[in-house]
Amino acid sequence: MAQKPDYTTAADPELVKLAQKGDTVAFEELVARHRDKIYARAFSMLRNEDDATDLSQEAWVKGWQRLHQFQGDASFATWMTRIVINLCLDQLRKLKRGRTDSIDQMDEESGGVERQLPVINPNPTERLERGELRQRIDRALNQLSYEHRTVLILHEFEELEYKVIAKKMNCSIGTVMSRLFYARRKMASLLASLKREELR
Amino acid sequence: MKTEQMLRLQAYLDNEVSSAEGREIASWIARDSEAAALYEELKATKSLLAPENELPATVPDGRDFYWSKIAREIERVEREPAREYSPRPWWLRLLAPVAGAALLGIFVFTSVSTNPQISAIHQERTDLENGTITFHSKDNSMTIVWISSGETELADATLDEDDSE
Repeated sequence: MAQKPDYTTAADPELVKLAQKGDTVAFEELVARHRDKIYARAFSMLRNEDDATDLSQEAWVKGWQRLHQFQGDASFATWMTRIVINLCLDQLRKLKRGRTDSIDQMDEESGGVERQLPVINPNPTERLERGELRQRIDRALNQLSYEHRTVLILHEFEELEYKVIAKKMNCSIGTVMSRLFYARRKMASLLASLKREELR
Repeated sequence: MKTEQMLRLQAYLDNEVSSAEGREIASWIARDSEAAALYEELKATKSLLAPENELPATVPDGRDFYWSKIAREIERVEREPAREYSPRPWWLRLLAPVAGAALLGIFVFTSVSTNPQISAIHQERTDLENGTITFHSKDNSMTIVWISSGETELADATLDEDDSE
């Protein structure tokens, strides 16, 4: 009689193999291990807890359905992250269709006020607790339009190249560069103003 | 500074330029204080936005509750029969509209051969691309539109390969 695997100690590739054979307990363990990461990516893009929860769960279901396609070229967590990013981009495209352009977008398309902004130095060496810095970055990210936030997340946090982002966002490389530039300058300005607010 | 130059500075920072272009930009930064200041700002912002500085987020629901919805959904999709898409060959896709057109042709030919005047007041139009055939008879005050199934095109449109990476 085959011995039952120890799911909690098994490595991801072993659990993936079991899940590919239909073992839902192995898949549940994978979900438990990576659910926060997948949820965090959905939340960073959608900025809404309920939507992020629903979409991350949908990503897990899609992951299960496509598990036979997973070859192990990237880690399982990276593969799942790609699925959730694609779902988020679909969701954001749907939302965008139903709304008018934001002021941020109009700014960008009319030449971008951020291009004329004086140069700011957000000073990365400033003595800030990691937690404080993260909070400040998160607050600043929250104030960007979804196009600018998405391009920044995909480039800085997911470390994707311009051409990959362009393909995912269904736009040109030039648009990616322009959005990234705008997003960075806006972030520098927001981080500086958040600092000023905290000093008051 | 022109927008194009600003974007070149950024591309240099992101290592998205060739080595020759990189050398050119580096020497530009060295001699132009405006370019150097902007480059420093972009570099500082990039270093702040390092992956480890992203605010971690945790699923608000407990493990069992979160999993239960996924498990239910997996069970539901597993119960559904697999819908495999197999494209029909091009000649099979044309078969139905062509057969329809042929039938109408025979009908019109038979009518014309029995009543030579009828051809002047009957019109037939075949559009294979849209899979429609229209037959109009003024004499009988009648219009027939034959529409073929658009199933193949619909199946093509619903395939989404982008998610399957």
